[in-house]
Amino acid sequence: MGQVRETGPLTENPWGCSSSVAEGIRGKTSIAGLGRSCLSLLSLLLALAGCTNNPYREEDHLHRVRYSSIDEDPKSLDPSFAYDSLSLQMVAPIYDTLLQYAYLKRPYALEPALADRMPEREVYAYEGELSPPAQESDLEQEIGVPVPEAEPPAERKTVRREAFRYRITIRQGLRFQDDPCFEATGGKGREVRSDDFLYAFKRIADPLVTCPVRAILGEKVAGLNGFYFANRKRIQGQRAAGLEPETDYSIPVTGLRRIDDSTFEVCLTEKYPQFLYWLAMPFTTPIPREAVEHYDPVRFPGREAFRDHPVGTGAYVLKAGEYRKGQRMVLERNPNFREERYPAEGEPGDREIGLLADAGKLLPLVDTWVFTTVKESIPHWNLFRQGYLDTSGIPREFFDRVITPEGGLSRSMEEKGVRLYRAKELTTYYFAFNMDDPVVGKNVKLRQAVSSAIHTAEYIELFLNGLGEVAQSPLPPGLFGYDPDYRNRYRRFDLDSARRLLSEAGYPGGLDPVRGQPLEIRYDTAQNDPSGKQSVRWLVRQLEALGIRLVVILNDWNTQQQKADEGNFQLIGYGWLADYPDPENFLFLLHSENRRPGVNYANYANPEYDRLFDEMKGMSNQGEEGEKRRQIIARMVRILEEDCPWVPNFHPESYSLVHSWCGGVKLHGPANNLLKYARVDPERRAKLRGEWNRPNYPAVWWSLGILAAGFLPAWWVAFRRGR
Amino acid sequence: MLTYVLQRILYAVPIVVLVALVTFMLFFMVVPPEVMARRHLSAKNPTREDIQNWLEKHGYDKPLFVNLETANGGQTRYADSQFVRHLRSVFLFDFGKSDQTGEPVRDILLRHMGPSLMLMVPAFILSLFLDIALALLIAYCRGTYVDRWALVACVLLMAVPTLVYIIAGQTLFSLVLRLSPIAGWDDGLQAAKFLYLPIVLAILAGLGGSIRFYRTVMLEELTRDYVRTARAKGSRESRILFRDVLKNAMIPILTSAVMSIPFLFLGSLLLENFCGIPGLGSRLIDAINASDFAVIRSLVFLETLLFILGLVLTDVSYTLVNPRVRFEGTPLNRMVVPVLLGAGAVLAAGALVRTGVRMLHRAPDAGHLMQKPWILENLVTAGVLALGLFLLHQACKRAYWREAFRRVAQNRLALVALGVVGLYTAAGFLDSISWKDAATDLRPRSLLDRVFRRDAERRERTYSSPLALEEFTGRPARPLENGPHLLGTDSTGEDVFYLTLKGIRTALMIGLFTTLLIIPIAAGMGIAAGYFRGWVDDTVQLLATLMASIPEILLLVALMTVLDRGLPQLCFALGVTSWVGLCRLLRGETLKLRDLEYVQAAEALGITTLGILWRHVLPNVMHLILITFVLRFSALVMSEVTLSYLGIGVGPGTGSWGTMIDGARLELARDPVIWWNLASAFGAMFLLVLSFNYFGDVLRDALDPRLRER
Repeated sequence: MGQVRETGPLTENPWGCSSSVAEGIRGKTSIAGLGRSCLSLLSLLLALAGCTNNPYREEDHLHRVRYSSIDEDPKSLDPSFAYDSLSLQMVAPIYDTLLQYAYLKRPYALEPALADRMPEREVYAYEGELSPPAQESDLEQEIGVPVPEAEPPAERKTVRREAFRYRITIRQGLRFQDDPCFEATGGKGREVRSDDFLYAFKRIADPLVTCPVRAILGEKVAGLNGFYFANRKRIQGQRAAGLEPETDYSIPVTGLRRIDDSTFEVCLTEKYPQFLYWLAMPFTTPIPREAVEHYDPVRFPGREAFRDHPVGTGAYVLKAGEYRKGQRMVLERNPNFREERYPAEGEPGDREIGLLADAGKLLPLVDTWVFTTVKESIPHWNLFRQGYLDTSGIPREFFDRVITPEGGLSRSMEEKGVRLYRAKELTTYYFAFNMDDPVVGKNVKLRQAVSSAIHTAEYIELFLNGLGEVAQSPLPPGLFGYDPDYRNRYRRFDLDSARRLLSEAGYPGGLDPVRGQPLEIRYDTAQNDPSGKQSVRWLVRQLEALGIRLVVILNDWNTQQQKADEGNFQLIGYGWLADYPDPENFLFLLHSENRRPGVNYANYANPEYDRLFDEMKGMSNQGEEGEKRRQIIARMVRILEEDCPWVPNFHPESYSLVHSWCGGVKLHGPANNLLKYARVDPERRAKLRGEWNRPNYPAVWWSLGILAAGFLPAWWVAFRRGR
Repeated sequence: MLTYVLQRILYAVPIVVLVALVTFMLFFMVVPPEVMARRHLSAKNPTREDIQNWLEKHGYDKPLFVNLETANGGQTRYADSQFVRHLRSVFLFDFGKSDQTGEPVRDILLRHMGPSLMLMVPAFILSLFLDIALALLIAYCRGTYVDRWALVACVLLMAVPTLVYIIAGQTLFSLVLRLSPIAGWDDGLQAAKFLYLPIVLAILAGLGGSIRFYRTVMLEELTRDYVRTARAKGSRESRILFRDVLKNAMIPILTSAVMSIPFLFLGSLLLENFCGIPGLGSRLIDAINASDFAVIRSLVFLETLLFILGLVLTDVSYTLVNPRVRFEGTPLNRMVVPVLLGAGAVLAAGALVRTGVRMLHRAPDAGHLMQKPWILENLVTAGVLALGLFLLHQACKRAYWREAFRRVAQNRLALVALGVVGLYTAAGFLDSISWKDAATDLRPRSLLDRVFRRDAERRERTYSSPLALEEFTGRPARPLENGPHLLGTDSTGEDVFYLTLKGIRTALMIGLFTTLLIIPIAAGMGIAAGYFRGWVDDTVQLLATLMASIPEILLLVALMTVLDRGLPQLCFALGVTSWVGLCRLLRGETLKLRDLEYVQAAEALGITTLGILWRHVLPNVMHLILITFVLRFSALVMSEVTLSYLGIGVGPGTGSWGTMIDGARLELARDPVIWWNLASAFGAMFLLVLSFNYFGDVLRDALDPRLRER
């Protein structure tokens, strides 16, 4: 450390009293001079800025552009990796899928997109390994997690059973977007072939891609896990030898069969009708191998990575040079997009709100999408109010008075022409009890008491503006098997019966007889933002009414996840967002096969429930089988009601506030590729924005005046002193 | 000069290694590799196999420090460990790839550095000019009502949380005046329209503190002999101020300003987040939130280098303004002991934190065993109270303090301020003594709860505005269950007046315990460094540099995550991050004192070193400690707001102004606005900070030996 003496803010100047030591500072020696230079700098800045609050460049204003926002950069634009909602939202418009959800139809239904027609299904006899090869279980033993001894190891080797096989035919004349990676065609997008799909399937099981759904699809598609483990071994060997690891795509996958250039077959390992939904997700989109190999910064230093440079077949392409991280993303119409037209029929009522006005028009309707990064919600909301964002996508707590009790809009919003659209989400928020906990896990009455004491209806009214529904079971409305008339006995808010149940549970008045103190239940949550804190405090109050003390443990996201996996909690709050609209995607959350560290955080295990689930999962929703499936689901839901491993909390509603120049909007739960259906009226937007954002010069003069008046006394005193 | 630069560069090496060690240990304590993998695999529920695969792919499967495994070839590659990899990447300036996006970290840094600089450099230059101009004006008007009100205005400016500046500024400039965009960014000159509002806000946010500091510096200059001489010769007052005083005051001003230049690179977190500026400050928070170790370690490394650069710049600027100071680096042989001691201290601190965490994990069980944990709290409170009274009693017996009290008492406003502080303290103590009436009581109720029983127990369902009779929602007006509330109710229907009262204890505890933690550490180390010099000084300086080079936010987040949330932990974390300033201050002062005649006389008389330190040095730096206590105290009370914004404030169930003010992020965006929550918390905080600061200023004058003749 240098031995130069330091002067803190309060020490005496150690160098005595010479008045001419400061050599480096000449010039600015009067207030007037300082003030003048400040003013000139300020005026320069103002002149540069031009007096407008428009965050975009002026010339953007009149095109068919839509302005939207994202709150951070998407994690990845690699279709085999993107799984969080933001990344999916950006990937889906770029990478078209084999099937898609029909935009206007409800209940949700699939329709062919890249596929020529719906895949043909047949039953065949699958023969092969049931579970992944031994490596995975070895690994688990190494880490010290007990492997469930459900099946004897001998049976694990081979299995023979009926399974589904899908034959998929793709449309003729599909082409990828133009991109320099297509060197053979001089940058023109080449034709899409069935190999591109098979490559994408293999890519799911590429250990270097770390695809988030590898564990699920690897098990469902025959031979895909074999491909994964073979490559894993290979890569481990390459790493040990100090080589750059590389995946070998020539290893065959038994379940993937190429028939010809436009047809291929996928063989599954079981009867898994939900497979079709996976064909509507970007994981199974065609991926041109050239692009992955071209955009590889390891081999070609300086090039963009594939995850930042998507090459797809979708309605939009990422505009070159306009992916500015932390700033904005721009999507542009893909000239090579297949000929798709706006749907001509919808639900009753769709025509009235103008949803069918564009029927038959070529998609996409909007040429450009600008996604600006806005991290905080207050600027976001203000930008929407100014008309600089076309839609709002901000937390519902914001519009306390924007939304009236009838679910309509307040007058101030209506005067602006803003419209509100709502839709039920395929999401369930729940509290899970730890079934291994000696207090809450072993005492069903206690769980039922807690469940009865949580007044979710009030929560929805106070915090969600009534946009939501009290959950009776894990199944959200809009799903097959959801029964609108079903009422869970322990989800009726009833303090008296809750108190009675609590006494029966051995805690009369909430008093823990052993400790002589009120019963304490630990609640783990990662809700650390202001709105989360409010809802946590609300929950504490609910249980106080029972005389139970809820000890809130605020975790960061990592710790929360770790605690859930380890089972180090009593009560924990979670939500599940459906991958696809099938009850199987919710009910499996409580299957004992998915116990921790799986998604069954409660560690709930009920053999009867498991048996019913296994029976239900492969059944069809149609006809007699559908009716039987419905009954099985009802029985499963009743088992959950009695055992109460969860307190199903609520199903939220999604909503969107939209400016008048955007026309009608229909919200959709599972689909992400809806940008192509959106519209805009640029002239109207330009006119309204201009009206709303004219600079307010009188107010400017007033504020300057007040500021100047604040300094007057100082000038006056200084002036008098000077004399 | 060349030797100096060389020595400096060599000096940076051990610092960088130590900082790397600290970052590495902290990060992997907070985020074990497995958790990191879970975080980056976007799967809802990754399997063990997927996690292992990710770890291998990113190289996090290696052992942490030493690799003892024998590779295939039969040889053991000891250096093939994560720490070695980490160090290598740092020293080769090869920052590697982001764990989250796979992008080269160098690109990320280059991309985000520009916008941060474009915001911070103009803000820095402009605020320097503006602060000095205003401070001069106020110094010129000293002793008049302008001076007094300017002090109030400064404290007001200081007490307003940055968050409120930003929200109010954006509302005024963009929604009311409609002159500037709320948020956004563009390239080149186009960025100007996004920049001038944040620049104005950045200047405004720092204005109060800087003006106060500069005014103090200038007033100190005004007591010097040359000023008296100039006055005697008949120079005009304005001429003295602008020509002589300003030049001399520039020394401390410049040196303090130069130190902050390197940090301009890192930008400002809040401004960048709210104004949509893609800068490094906001990127660091993203990286912390996303557990992106590759980015974090690079930013920390960069900050260390910048900090050392700052030290060099300070030295250079010293020699520029004062030719009597010469460059003096640290010779290599003098670095060995400090580095060894520093490393030892770092490891010891790590071990201490570890043990602390273990004990905390056991603490709940201990609480259960004790059955009545609040009894301990009451005992501690009584102890603190007794200690305070004892100190007061002792002080009253000494002439020095009696004289100080007499001088404070002459100022009536100071007495009012003291009264306000006393009221707050009383409320804090009332809130710290609690017991249960019946076994079924959910929690012990404090004396404060009992005094304000009416407010504590009257709850509504949700918001209601002050003195309103109906709920504040759009529903068909529903009457309140328990009548009007003086300051309204909050989202869960609790009385805001009561919540504000509950915040007092938290604020006082954060201020008090943190400063009580800092002062012994800082005083011990600072005085020892200044008095003994040599290797003691070198070690202390090394540790101080080490602490100062790790971004404060990172350290706070890491400590709070490791220690779990809670008030004591918060105080500890704040204490760890904020002792450096006082330590440096005391070191500098002691360096001066030890050369003074009375210390030399004491040495000659054969008084023991400890005796000299205790009887002669400590009393003479006491006023510095006290003033730092006052200033730190209010800064700490206010820092709670930022901590709440970062999500590491106190937990729910503990009343806190920070939580209330942070909640304004939601409430101010409502339509119509919910303002009473923010206003109450802010008002209470402002009153405390203002009183404390005013009292502190008067006390400083009363204690300053040079001013005592008056």
